Amino acid sequence: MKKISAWLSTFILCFLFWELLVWSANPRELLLGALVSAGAAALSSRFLIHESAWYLYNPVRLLLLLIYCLFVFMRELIAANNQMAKIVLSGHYDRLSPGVIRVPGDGRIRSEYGLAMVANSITLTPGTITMDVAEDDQGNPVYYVQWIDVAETDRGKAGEIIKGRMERAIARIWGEKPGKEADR
Amino acid sequence: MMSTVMTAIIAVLLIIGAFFALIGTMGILRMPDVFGRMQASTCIATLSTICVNLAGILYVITAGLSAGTAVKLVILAVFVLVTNPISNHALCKAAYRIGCKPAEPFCVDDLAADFGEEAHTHNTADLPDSAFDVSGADASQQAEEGELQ
Repeated sequence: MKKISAWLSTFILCFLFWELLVWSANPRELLLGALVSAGAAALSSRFLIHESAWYLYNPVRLLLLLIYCLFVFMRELIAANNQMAKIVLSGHYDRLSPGVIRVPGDGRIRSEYGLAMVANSITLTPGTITMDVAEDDQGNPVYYVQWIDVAETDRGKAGEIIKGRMERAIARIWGEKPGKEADR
Repeated sequence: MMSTVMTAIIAVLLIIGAFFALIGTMGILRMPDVFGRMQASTCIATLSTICVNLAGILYVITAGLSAGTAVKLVILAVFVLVTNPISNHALCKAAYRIGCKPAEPFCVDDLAADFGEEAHTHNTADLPDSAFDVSGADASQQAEEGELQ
């Protein structure tokens, strides 16, 4: 039962992507898309779905995800790109102080989607790359971030600079109440 | 009138995209170590890709092409944004684990502090250790020779 629902949710995702790429309602294209999606879903559903199968299909979650991508993330991206442009054009690379810093994460984000999204958002902003994600003693996530110019060595404040706004927005999408076990 | 305004917007977006691609390329060529180069290259994959794709979408709308083309451009940007951080993370971690030295020593290194010996691996490729050590004297000489004037 669990396998079938995992297959079905992967199938729907694959078929949606097929339709977006082909962009036609021709019955032949629909049939071919269904066949290819069924095959792809059968092979890949166990990699995509680890937890509950219908976790992604939540209208509120998808809307918040869209808002995050279009506004919160874009704003951080533009700010970080401008900073990177200043660093590159200034040419004083010896004044930079690179470092690998341990940054504490928000305890509300426990699901794999959420952790991957915070880590990838940190990597996508120029100037910071996530090198590892681990758990501390209480089970809260910890990110090891390679930072090109360490402006703040206090771990908490550094985390606020690197990912403060993005993480709060992501916690609204994938977050859960603290203390509750993640549905793995 | 409308199409003139749209053409101007498209041109501005293309210029912004090309500018950030230039920044990323300059960073790759001029940064002194692996980590700096990787950080600079992120500019190309993010704002540059987004701006150029946005210009393409606006062009599709003004030229009255099929909506499917605009959707394909959106998917293109999404795929670049989803796949780039994964390869970037893997490259950065691999460079760190095989012991690539930054040009300036790291001012904080929590990965080495927390994991100790396990932070680095001894399984490197079949290259002599000197190939990975860019902080030596000859490396700085090379950097001077290779610097853009």
